[in-house]
Amino acid sequence: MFRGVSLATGWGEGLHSLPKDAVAAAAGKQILPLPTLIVDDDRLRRATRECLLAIAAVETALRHSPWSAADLAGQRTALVYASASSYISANWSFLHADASSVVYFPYTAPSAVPGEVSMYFNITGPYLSFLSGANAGLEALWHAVTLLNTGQCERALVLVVETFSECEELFLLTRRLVSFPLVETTLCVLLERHPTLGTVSYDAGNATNGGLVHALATSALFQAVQERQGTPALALCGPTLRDGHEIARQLQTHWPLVADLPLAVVNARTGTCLAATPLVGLLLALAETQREQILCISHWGEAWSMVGWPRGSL
Amino acid sequence: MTSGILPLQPTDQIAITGMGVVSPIGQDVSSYWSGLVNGACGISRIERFSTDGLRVQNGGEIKALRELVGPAASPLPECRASQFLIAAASEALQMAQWNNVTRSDQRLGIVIGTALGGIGQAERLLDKPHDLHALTGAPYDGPTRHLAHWFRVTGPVMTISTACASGATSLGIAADLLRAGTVSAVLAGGVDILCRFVMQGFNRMRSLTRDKVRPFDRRRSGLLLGEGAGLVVLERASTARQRGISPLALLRGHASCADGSHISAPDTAGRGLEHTIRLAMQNAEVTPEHIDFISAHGTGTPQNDRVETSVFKKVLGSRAYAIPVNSIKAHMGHTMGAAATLETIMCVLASRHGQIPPTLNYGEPDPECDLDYVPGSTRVFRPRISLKTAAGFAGCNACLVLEGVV
Repeated sequence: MFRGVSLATGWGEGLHSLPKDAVAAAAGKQILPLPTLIVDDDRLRRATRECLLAIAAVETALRHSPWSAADLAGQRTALVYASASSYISANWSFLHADASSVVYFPYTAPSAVPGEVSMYFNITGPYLSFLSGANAGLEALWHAVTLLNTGQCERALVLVVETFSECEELFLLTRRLVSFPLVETTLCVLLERHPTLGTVSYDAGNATNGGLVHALATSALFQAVQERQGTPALALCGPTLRDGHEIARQLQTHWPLVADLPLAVVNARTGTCLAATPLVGLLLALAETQREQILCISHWGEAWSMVGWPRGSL
Repeated sequence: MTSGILPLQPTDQIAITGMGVVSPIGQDVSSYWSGLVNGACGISRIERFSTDGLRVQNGGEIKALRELVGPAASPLPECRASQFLIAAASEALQMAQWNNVTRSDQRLGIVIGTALGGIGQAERLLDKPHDLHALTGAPYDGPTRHLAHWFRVTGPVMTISTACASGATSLGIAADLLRAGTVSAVLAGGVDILCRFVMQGFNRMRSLTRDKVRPFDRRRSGLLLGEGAGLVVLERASTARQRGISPLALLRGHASCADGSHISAPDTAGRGLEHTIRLAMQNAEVTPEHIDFISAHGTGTPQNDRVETSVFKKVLGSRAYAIPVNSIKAHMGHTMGAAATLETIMCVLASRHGQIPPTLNYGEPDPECDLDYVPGSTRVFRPRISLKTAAGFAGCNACLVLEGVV
C-alpha cells in the first residue's frame, strides 16, 4: 500500500501543479527544467544533478509519509529505480570529456543515481534499475510489488528521475519529443507490504509489425478489465502526447467505452516525462476519480506495459 | 500478477533450455567451453579503436564477429552490442528449439542486463552530427529493442541494469516474469562491448592492470575489460518437458541487493553481497551443505577478491573451504554486463560435463584469500548446486542458485 509520494516536475510540486493542457501551458517552451539543487554535504561532492534530485525526491516522499529516514535503512527496504533519460547528460558530458571533466566515472552509469540514494539512506535491500524507455516506470512498479508480495522486503521505494536540461542542445535536436514539451520530473512512491497488493495485475508485450493497438486490446489484462463489472479509470501514456492520442483513438475501435473513461491520455497533463508518465497517471486517477480500478498503459516503440491497480490496494 | 498464462505452481521450476555465447574465447557454446577448460586466453591488444593516451591497451576484444543468419529480412543493426545479442540469441533459441514454436499463445519475452547498453554507438554518432538526436532515445535500451525487433518477439521487452551484476539480475527478473505468468519463455542475459568510453573511465580510476588478470592471487593488481554477450532461454520446466525439451539446468533462486556504501568500490564488510547470497539461497531453499561450486565475480582487484572470499566464509562457514571457487575473468577479461550470464553458462556446462574450468594465472596464495580456487588446470568434478555471484558499480550485488540437470 502507498505510504508516501512525492512528485516534482517542471510545472511545480505535486499533482495540483500540473496544467490541464500541457502544450498550451508551455507557451512554446520546449524544456521545462526542475530547479537545480545546491546541497552542502561532503558525501555528495561528486554526485550529479540527477543524484541530488533523486535524494530530494525521497526526502520529500518521506515528509509526506509516516516513516522517517531511519525506517528506510537496512535490508528490508527495496529500491527500484527507473529512467529513460537521466543518464544521458552524464554520458554526453563524459563523451566530450577532457582531463578537467567534472563528471566522474562511474557517474555515467545509470545505477549511480539509485547508488547515491542507497548510500544516503543506507538502503541495503533488493535493488535494481529499469531502463526500458518510457515503460521503465511501470516495470519498476511491477517489480516493487513482486518483491513485496513475495516477502523479499517489507518496504519498497519506486523512484523515477527524468532530466533533460543539462544536455538541452541534444534534446532540442529531437523535435518529436520537445514539441509537447519535455518536462523534467522526479517521482518517488513509498510502498509497504500489504495483502491487497496481491490484487495488482501486470501484463507486457511487444507489438511487432506495427500492431500495437491490437496487441494492447487483445492482452489478457485489458480483456479482464473490460469483462469486469464497473469501468476503470484509464491512464494512457505514450512517449509523447501525439502517441497517447493515437493509441486512445485506435483503442476505441476495440473498446468504444474508451472515449468516456476518465483521465485517458496522461501526456496531455504532464507533457513528455517518459518513464514517470504512467505513474503520474496512476496518481492522477487515484486523486481525481473514484473508479475502483485504474488501468495504466504505456508504450515505448513496439514495447508496451500495463498495470491494473485496484483502489483497494492504496 | 497475471496475464493469460497460468501462474507458476509452487512445484514447477524455472528451467534453462537454451544458451548462446559471444565471447573473446569462443563465439558459440561449444568453442567457449573448449576455451574455458583448455585455459585459452582471449585478451590481446585492442585494435578496433584508438587506445592512445590510455595506461592499458589490452582487453578481451572480439576481433571478428561470426556471420549472422537470422530469420529477419531487415539488415543487421549497426550497433555492435545489438549484433552480439542477435548472435547469442540465435544460438540460444536454436538450442531451446524455440524457433519451431509457432503457437500464437506462446509468448517469448526479453530481459537484457547491461552496464553500457548502446552507449558505445554514441561514440560513432559524435562523427555524425545529423544523427546525434538518436542519443536521446534511451540509448542503453537500444540493443534490447533491436533484438526484440529482429526476432519479432511478442512478450515483454525489458532492459535492466545493476552495472556489472546485470547479467545475473536479468535472469532473476526473467524468472519473476515466468512466475507471474506474464510470458511463456524469456530470452535473458547480458551484453557489453569494449569502447573508448569505458576504457577511458576505467583508465581514470586506475583499476586496470598492466599485468595479467590474477583472480585471488597474492600478486593480483586489477582487472582487464572484455566484451561479449551471454543469453539463456528460461521457461517453466513443465512447459519445456511438454515441448519435448529436457532442461539443461534449473534456476533455483536469485537475489539482487545494494551495498549502500560506495559508488565504485565494494563494501569492505561485504554486507550487500552477504545479504544477496543469503536471500538467493533462501529463495532456492538450499543450505551451505547443498552448495557444490561457486562461480565468483573474481575480478582480480585486491579488494573485490578479498571481500568475496570473506563473505563466502561468513555465509557458508567451514563448508566454504570444501567448495571449489573459480573465476574465469582471466580467460577473457571482465565482460561487464555479459559477465554473470557467461559465468552462469559456465556453471551449467560444468554440471553437464563434470568439469570445472580453472582460475587462470593463479599461482601465489594470498592469506586473505584462502579457499580452493581451482588453480592450474580443469578439475574433474560434477557440481549439482552452484552459486553464481556478481557485483557492480553503485553497490550492486547479485546471486543466482543453479541446479545442474544431467
